[in-house]
Amino acid sequence: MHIEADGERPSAAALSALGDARRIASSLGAVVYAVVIVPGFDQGRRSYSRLPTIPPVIGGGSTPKPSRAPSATIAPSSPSSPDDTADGNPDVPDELIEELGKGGADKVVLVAAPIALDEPPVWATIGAALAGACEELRPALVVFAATAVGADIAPRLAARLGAAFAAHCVVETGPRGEVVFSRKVYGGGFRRRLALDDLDRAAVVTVPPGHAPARGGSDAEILMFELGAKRDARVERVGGDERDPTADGLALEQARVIVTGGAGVAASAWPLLEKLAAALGGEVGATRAACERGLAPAAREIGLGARYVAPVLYVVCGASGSAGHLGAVSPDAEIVAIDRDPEAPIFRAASYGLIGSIEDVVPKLLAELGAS
Amino acid sequence: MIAILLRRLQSRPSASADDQVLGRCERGALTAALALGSAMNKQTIAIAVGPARREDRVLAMALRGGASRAVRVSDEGLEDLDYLGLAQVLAATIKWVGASIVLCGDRSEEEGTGAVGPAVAELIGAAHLTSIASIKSESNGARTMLLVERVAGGTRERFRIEAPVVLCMRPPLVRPRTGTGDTTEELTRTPRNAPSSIEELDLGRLGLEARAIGHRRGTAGRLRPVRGPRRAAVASSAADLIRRLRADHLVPPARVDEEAS
Ligand SMILES: Cc1cc2nc3c(=O)[nH]c(=O)nc-3n(C[C@H](O)[C@H](O)[C@H](O)COP(=O)(O)OP(=O)(O)OC[C@H]3O[C@@H](n4cnc5c(N)ncnc54)[C@H](O)[C@@H]3O)c2cc1C
Ligand SMILES: Nc1ncnc2c1ncn2[C@@H]1O[C@H](COP(=O)(O)O)[C@@H](O)[C@H]1O
Repeated sequence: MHIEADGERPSAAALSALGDARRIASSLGAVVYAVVIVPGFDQGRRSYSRLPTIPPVIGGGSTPKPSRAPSATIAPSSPSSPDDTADGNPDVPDELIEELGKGGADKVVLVAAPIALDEPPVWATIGAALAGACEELRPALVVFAATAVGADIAPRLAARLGAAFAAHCVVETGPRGEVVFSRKVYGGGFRRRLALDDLDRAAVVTVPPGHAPARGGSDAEILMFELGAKRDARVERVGGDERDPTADGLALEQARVIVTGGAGVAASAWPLLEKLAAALGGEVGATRAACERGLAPAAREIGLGARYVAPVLYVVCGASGSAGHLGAVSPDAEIVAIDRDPEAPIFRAASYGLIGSIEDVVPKLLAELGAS
Repeated sequence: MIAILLRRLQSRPSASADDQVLGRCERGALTAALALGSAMNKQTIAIAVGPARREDRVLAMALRGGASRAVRVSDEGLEDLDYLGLAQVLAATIKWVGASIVLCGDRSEEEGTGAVGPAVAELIGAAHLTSIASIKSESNGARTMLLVERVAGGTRERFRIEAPVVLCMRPPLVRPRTGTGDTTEELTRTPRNAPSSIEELDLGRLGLEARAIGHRRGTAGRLRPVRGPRRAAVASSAADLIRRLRADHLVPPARVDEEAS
């Protein structure tokens, strides 16, 4: 799992993926290592204020022995005494370690990488450090959050390890109790299911955020790896970062409630969806057909060819429920469908439905919600 | 030499989509590669791994769009390979044609794995970046440098990157349909017949033994059709729907309820 940190805390995507990793490890009797890339061990704790990545790694049934022990500094420490530098232990961000322990990590592995604090974590900057850590830990499974960082790093790590790879997958339990990674493909008409038991090699997976983090774990042991990892000098960042004008759609990935409009929504009725989303405390999404009609900006598109989402409540207005669209909505989401056609396929995917035209029905819903 | 990795869009396993030839990321890669090729005065070569009946339409489209060459790798058993097996075949082809800049899609629209580009980079020892929005060339003596813009996680980042490199292009954003096709739309309107100039390779010509990639079969996961869905509980009115959603704690209780409690 790959998780970016948010300040001194693991990001929500990281905790969600760590929760998945914990559930898998518990079912296998395995150990969860939360691997945190840090910019080096010789700086004060303030230097950890923006941690680039935290990919949890699941090892075998017992703590693996480092394969090249001399290259790794393994210094078990207690999260309760993170500021103890006198004995050579570095400062560590204690809130982060604590939260990773509570979130399901058995061990937190700090791995030094030559990355500046404001640099984006990509394979070129942290890949070698991560691959080095995997060589030490020999994991059976590496879990990343399905974020832009995970998309850059996870597949290359998989290739380096010769591992099987599955992106954007849901963790399921197979008939024999085995762990299965499942994802929708071919516009949503098919699923690819990869059973961990069937593999004779390691696997690397990315999992979409939005699941409940694991809770009730305990203190994690801390390991520190200084592996002398180098960055890829062929890739050099130029200038600072700018906000992406399409970043607006990112809110959809975190939203608990999404109201999505399709081609069946008239341009004049689109503001009703915005009001409904506001009344429910959610975000507005759109299908490809709606974006093509200019009803919503492209950054708001949801679907297998666009953005994946994992809300608790997903309200679909005037969209037929095509697999290309719904395949990117987490199977955990409760879908509410509003469509004027009682035979619209969306009613076969939804838990709740309401038949009627958007123009008639949404104002009534707003009135019920006290938001008209 | 600039290589472009292309794959025909499939609506179902082993059935090509008729309405669209390429997924959005691959379209982005093709358009960017052709533009880069003419800006750098370099040859462009389109590469596809797959059977002629599927891939020749894509390759014909690339040639029509201005690609200098098109190469298809076809052999038995290539269909079942996972991302790394496919990357081994592509890496051997890239070495065979001698390309140092490789463009591909961030993720194919039907499989959506997003793994082929980074895996190819690993195998040819190249740098890679994903989620690329634009590419420009920069001359720096004998070295080939590219300036790329990466859009990820809400920020726009710029990198200078030296070949050999694999760049994975993000999908261009959907634009409202205007009715006038853009250049990639034009490119899709190609004849179904493949021009004879498509070069055909098999594993033997690439110096790859079927045995060397055989162990990458069956590790992509099993394909299963999605089962027929259930039926929604249809509410009788807007009030009924909100009442049900409240009962299931999906919508917060009404404010009057809160005041009363
Ligand atoms: C490989 C692949 C990838 C794809 N990726 C995506 C993707 O990322 N995102 C995406 O969205 N699509 C994607 N698609 C396309 C997808 O298959 C559909 O074409 C698209 O989602 C349809 O959008 P829609 O449901 O809004 O429109 P339609 O299918 O046209 O549905 C419109 C609905 O509105 C209803 N309606 C009409 N008028 C009213 C009214 N006044 N009030 C209430 N209801 C009304 C109709 O009954 C109908 O059910 C992909 C397809 C493929 C093959
Ligand atoms: N069979 C293939 N032949 C050539 N290029 C491919 C093939 N499959 C995938 N690619 C390239 O790899 C990218 C990512 O694919 P994927 O890893 O399947 O998501 C695609 O956008 C293509 O550019």
